[in-house]
Amino acid sequence: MFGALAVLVLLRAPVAFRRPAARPAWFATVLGLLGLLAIGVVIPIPVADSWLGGTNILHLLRTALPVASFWFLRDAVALQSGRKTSRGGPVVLVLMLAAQALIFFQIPDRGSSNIFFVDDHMIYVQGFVWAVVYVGEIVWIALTMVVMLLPRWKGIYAAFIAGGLATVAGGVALVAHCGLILAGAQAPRVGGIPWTLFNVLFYPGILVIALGFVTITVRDFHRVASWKLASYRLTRALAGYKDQRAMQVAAADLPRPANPILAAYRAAIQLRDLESLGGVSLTPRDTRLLTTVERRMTAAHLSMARPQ
Amino acid sequence: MQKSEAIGAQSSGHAHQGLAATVRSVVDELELTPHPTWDEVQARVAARFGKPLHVAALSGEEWASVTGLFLEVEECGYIFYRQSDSPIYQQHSILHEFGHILLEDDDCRILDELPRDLVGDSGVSGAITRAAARGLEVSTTELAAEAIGYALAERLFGSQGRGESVFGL
Repeated sequence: MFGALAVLVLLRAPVAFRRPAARPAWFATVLGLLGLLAIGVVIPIPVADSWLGGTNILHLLRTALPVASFWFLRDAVALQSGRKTSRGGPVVLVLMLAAQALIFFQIPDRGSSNIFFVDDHMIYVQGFVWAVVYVGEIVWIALTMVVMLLPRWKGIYAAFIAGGLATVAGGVALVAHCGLILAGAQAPRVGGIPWTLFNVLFYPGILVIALGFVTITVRDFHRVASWKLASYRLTRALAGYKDQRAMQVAAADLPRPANPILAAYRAAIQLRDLESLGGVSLTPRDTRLLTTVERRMTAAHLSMARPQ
Repeated sequence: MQKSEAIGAQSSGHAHQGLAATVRSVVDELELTPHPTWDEVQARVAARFGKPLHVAALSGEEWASVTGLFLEVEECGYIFYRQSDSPIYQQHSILHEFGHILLEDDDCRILDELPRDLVGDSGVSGAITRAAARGLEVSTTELAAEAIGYALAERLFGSQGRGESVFGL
């Protein structure tokens, strides 16, 4: 998973640089990648923490990075789904992370690198508040994402909704677990029903959301690649008729769109112009290509755009 | 002066920028939702037009040089497209005529060039006060209407048209 995310970050870096709309998903991937580094799946926690001074600051990154990644993921899903969420601007994210940091540094006796840091420090009010703030932030982002997507609950968005709800439930279980430790009703490093519920719901919920993310990404890669191919083939076919008068038809002089779907659409319209207005006979091969692409466009888009 | 004529009056270097700015401004003024349906686009264009707008297919052999036609009479407006064309091409011809309406274009001279039977068979009654058509003519007016047609198509594509910029390459 780490390798796949790393490849995705590198592949999408130029796109994120060029298109603002591509940035939230890219930031989410970068932060998710760093988040994986912070949970010890690639580098052991004591080793990674020693690079940060060996005072358990890595545990702050383990809560800050998922929140930031989740934030940008929700932005990307909002863009993809065309839905809006009243989540405030980036200042809200900065405040959320600052709140985590502020409370984290109030935790007494942080000590040296310790993989049980969270459990061991829930006996302190500051530790408990830090956990509540972290969970509260994740739950808030997940809930606003779920509410945002409810009107479009079918298809891939169902994964985001289901994952979001599981994350919320898991978050509540984690707070309960930490609360029990703080109240002295449960010893640190010992499981229990809330802890079990947290493990069953929280990370699997995030995993389901991550799978939805990967599915959309793979689907879009495939879709864009196929439209690029269609655009290339139609444009090449169009170039074969360059000496025809009908190349002067209305929009031949307009700038070529960067979006491959629009580029294919434009080329298809121009080929039809050649045929319909210019009296040009398209070759059987070009006619087949044009018909196939038009049929695909109709199936994909025109169902919601069919004239009365 | 019509909006598209104002673009044509500029030097060619500025004309492209002027066209892009006009298209953006005209489409933005429609205040379409992020995922507009065909009905929504038509309703917004009709609202800007200020009269009911009827869109209908016409059959016949009289269409040789025209793929879409806009006619305005006192009570309403009509857009006609060719029944024999593919759905995508029909849609684009209508979007092009939407462009003429939004740009407030008027080229009643085309009525003299159109086959009599075409207008006669359309069922339009009353004096035609404004007209525009999509055909072989190359002019600033046609280019602007075509550009708006493409811009509206992009909006109709919705997430299909934008999705690649969110998660894809």
